Amino acid sequence: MKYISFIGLIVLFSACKKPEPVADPSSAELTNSMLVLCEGLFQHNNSSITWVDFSDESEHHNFFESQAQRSLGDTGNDIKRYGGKIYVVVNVSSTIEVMDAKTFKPIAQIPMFANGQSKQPRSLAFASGKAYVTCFDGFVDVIDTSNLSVTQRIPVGENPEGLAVSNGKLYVANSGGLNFPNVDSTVSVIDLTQNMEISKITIGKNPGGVLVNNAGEIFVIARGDYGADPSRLKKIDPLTDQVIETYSFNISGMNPMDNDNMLVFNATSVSRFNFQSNGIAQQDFIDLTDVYTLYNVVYRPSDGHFYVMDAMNYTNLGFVRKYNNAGVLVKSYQVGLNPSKIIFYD
Amino acid sequence: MYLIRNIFFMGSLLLPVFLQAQEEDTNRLQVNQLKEVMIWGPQIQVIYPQIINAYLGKKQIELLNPDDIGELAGKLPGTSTRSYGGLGGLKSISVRGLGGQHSAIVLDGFNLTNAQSGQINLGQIQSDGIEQVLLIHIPASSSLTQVSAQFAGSQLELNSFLDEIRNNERQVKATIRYGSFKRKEVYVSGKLGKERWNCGGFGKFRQADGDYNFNYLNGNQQVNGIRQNNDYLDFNIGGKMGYNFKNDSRWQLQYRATRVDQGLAGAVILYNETADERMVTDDHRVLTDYYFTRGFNKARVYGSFGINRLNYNDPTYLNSQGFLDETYTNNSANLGYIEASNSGNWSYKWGFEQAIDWMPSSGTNLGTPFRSSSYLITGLTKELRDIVFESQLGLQYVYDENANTEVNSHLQLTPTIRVRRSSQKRFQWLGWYKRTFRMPSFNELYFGSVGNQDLQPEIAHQSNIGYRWLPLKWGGKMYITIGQDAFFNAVQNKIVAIPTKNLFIWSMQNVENARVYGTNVNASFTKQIKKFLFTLNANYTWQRVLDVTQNSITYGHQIAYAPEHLANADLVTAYKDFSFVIANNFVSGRYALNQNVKGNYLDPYWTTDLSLKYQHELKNKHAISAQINVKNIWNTSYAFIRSYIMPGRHFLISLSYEIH
Repeated sequence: MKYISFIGLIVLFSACKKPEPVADPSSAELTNSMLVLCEGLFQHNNSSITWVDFSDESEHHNFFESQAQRSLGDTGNDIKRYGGKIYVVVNVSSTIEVMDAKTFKPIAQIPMFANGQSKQPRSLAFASGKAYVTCFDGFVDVIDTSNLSVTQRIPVGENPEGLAVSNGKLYVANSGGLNFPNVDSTVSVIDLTQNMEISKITIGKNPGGVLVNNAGEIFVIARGDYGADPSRLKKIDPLTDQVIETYSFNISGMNPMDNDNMLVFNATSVSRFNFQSNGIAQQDFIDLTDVYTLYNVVYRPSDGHFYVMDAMNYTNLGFVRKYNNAGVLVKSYQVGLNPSKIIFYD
Repeated sequence: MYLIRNIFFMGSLLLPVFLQAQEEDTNRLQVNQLKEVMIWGPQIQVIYPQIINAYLGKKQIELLNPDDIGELAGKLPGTSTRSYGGLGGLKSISVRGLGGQHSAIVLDGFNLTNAQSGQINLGQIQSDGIEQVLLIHIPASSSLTQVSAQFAGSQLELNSFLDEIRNNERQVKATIRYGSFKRKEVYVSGKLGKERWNCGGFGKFRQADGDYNFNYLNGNQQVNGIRQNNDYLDFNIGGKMGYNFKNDSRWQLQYRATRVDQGLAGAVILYNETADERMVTDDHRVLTDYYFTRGFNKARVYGSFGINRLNYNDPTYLNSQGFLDETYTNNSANLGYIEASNSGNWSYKWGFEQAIDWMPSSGTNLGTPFRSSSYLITGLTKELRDIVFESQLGLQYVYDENANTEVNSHLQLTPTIRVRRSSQKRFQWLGWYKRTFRMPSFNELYFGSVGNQDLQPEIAHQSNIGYRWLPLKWGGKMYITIGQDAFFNAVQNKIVAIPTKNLFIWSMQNVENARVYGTNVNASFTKQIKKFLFTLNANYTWQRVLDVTQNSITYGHQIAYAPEHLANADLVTAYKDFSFVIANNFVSGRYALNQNVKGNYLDPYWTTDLSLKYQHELKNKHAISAQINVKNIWNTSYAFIRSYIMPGRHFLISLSYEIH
């Protein structure tokens, strides 16, 4: 028996690989840096946040874990800053992590369950001290940001995704993705004074992202069926709540840029959409040669650079690639699996 | 007397010692012949190795008392069991780095297929009544195993107590078990052989609450949890009747049915313990064959029909219905003939088989796929002095259609060549090469947006060199065998799921190539010291399973869930009516995804199981036994598959009454 154990130990220790230590980043206030939310993969419990410090270009992986002493969970879907807090939506774990915006130290974890079932939260928006969270079970949850409790559930359409606030109303994209191919086609309009749905706008199959510009116009992506019915951008008039424009270019995502422009992109190109001219003002202006899988792109006004999130075929560690105003690659930062959202610190 | 009893006992334990040390293949008849001889200890020394790669015998299986065949398979060299949970959890095997669909699961000479997933869930094949488990890389020239199984990259061959019923044989066995997780079992079996007719049957009921405690490290925090919705209920029944003809031919008919009703605990998701999905599986199989002899020829005609109905239910799915309920009915039928002849130094075999699979389903995800598979096999063996030259050629034609529209057809060749030194020698060597393939499954071809109708077969080129050495035999009350193989496999057109449009739209593609190389060592040692008999069976496998896909980000990385090191060491001690086993299993670190980075790394684990059995012989060949198994005695928290944490320490108590 002793010899067996001995042999076993030899085999064990010769085969083990010691895990690398977790990064130990600064606990000081975060400045001149970015937090990158990486979704991870379903059922792998490997969603993570990478902190990139621009002062020395260092990458700090598993930043949430180092600050909270525990893992973020499974499939982080959204991260946003509101007031002095950062909210991280973790879809499959069905939680919202609330962090201190300056230090990224944990404040609270909000479990998102109803009747013993996970709500599967997806995206966030804020208005008047409230956080609005789309939940895949067909509701928008209202969270009081002062006491971090869910105060109300507003029923909307099926499997809601993106949402944005305009003109005192909340626009919620109802994807119906879990009924594919019989998906939903509507955007719910919620009156924020009553916190209830007042209408539904039919915009096209499989609504996903929602963005509001400074003029209050609402842009929604109807993602179609990923086949014959292509993904299209729609514009909604905030006064009439009618679809007033359908754009003919392919689109998979969009993000704000400045007062006059937003970024629109698909798998192969990034373009600048101008609100005044109501169309693409600068097409395919970033050289994506080094990008393996374009997953998202955002603009940082303070340095005028574009940050492309490269998912590297979705199963390999991703990169955030920084491009200058001319669309030339300046720097690549290795981050976690499937980087999808960024918060900048100036 | 105790010596004879120990030798008798050792006979069963030593069988794997002999056989593990040997190379590749055999067939059931050879093994059964061996068993006959092994029972009589004094004749043990006349047994020289047959050419089997790995073997587990009846006594060993009984002592290990595994939950299912998946648990047993992990003890075979070069084999890792991919387990998604404890009792009832999905289990499949990977042999020498090849995917589970490259291995055929053969029960009593019949190939158990499932065209939907491409592989049988080994977690639903229980070990009661299974008397032999063999891993075969190359079928013997005299093998009468179902033709389609001989096309596989390897065969996991299971032989049950019903496989062969001898004249005037009588056997009855009844077992009750109680264990952790409120597990309760009743098993009854029997068989009776008359001069011409024979029959047998079995029935089993098994139930467990299934929920088990586990712990894991979440960041720097130790977390305790309960794996819930893991309840399990199954019924197994089966029966056989056979008739022995005067001219040494025999006919048999078997029916087997299984019903499994289980909760699906799913992956352990951080902060989210909800789980309420269920799965019900009904499996019915009718198997019949007819063996006959004609001169130097032995032949077998066989046929089978099977229905496997799987119902999946998610009562809280977030679609418009508020639930998901889908049923898939996988039907299969086959008819075949195989003949082997051995005259002097030459032997040959040939055979053919026609199989069809079709699968209606309640959902819209799969359509109504249909597959027709035609097999033709021929083999030739020549023995020159003590060198044996073997060759085999298989031809398979597959025709697929869905919704009455042809989707694809494939024609594939499976050549095999082997040279070895005769198995009658104390030192043997061998070398072989074979080309095999595996067809894409119905799921891979048609399942919603994941399926890809243009998939091509996945090809595997396998080669092996090895030796077997028996420096000591039983004459000195000690026995040692040592064997080692080095293997090299090249896999082309590997079928993998990759995201093709976005993170949520994955699709099956023939995109990867893999290179596998490694070695496995088997050693067995048996010694008698006074009234004690000790047997140690151990094996160790080192393997590199590398992604060699051109332009791949992970070129040169170890492929996901392919451990580099695997080891087993089982020590069996027998003393009078008692037997005691310490069984160790080690699986090294591996990666959950192909990229070999820290974030994907899964820790190695080493589990130890204990078994203590007391068996007392009564009059008239009646016997009673009591057994206790303690599994995972160190309460190790481990998971082969990421997020599927296995049970900690648990117990199983068994009481049996047997007439043999």
